[in-house]
Amino acid sequence: MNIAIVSLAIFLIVSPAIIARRTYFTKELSKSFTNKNTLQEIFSGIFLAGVLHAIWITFVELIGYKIDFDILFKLLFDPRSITDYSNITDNIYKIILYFISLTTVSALISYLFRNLVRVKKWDRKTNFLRYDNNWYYLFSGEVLDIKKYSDDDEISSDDVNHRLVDVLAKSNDSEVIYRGNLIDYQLDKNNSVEYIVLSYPMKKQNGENKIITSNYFVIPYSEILNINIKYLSTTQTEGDSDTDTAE
Amino acid sequence: MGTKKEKSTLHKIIFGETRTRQVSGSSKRIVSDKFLSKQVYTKVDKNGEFTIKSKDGKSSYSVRQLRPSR
Repeated sequence: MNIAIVSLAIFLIVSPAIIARRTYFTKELSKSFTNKNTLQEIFSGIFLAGVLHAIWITFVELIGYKIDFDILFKLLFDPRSITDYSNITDNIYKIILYFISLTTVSALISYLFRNLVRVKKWDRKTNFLRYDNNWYYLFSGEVLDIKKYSDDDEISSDDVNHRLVDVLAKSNDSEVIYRGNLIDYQLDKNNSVEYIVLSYPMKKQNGENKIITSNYFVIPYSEILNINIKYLSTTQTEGDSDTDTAE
Repeated sequence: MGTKKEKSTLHKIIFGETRTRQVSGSSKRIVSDKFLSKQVYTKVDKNGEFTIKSKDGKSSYSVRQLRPSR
């Protein structure tokens, strides 16, 4: 019973940080979050939870509420010593409101900060803010914004709107090169590529070139020996244009 | 000729439009056209900058390979 109460209290205290971290690692960069289990995530969130609660406790005390630290510490470290839970039950709606408001505000700030980091390219300018989804940076062409890969200020990922790949793959006893337009890719739970999707790939085998007429050609990563990526910038110079901006 | 307006930084931050698309702009036409794709495949090794034309000759595209200077 006591272990259950302590576990529930820890989970409740850490949950705003878990949700804030989950919000930060969404969309294209979600792999940084999803390759951790719940226990790892609780440990990762403890420091952030401490910071969030310190800020929120200061705020709620400034607007006139009082936090009962005595019962809080007893709940965490010695629940048996609590003889009277009335301070919790009498203020249950205020406690719920505290957690809901903290979770909502921290998730919102986390979401906006994440977008700010991405839009301002801070994740590419500093190692500290970089996500560990290396394949995303490589396949999108955002590596061109990272100094380690490119010192050239004349080109950036904003110029890339087409990726061409040469894939050396195993085929029975021989090796085949597929050249194609990179359309999509899928990562597995270990943050490795599961497969890549090409359109109209050209197959090079035994000195012969053949275009495979397929909308989408999927190559499992287990069949791939290496990948060569070319970043292209294409613009329509004549004819009806449907040009939009690269995002 | 319909060129879409670049969205503001604030718009991107609020709506979370932060993903770099794999295919965007005029490359949408190239990746969905066998004839154009084939031209890109054959010309890209010879030259870092080249032009390709659609099968009917009505549209042409300028293609540039982005190579960092170092």
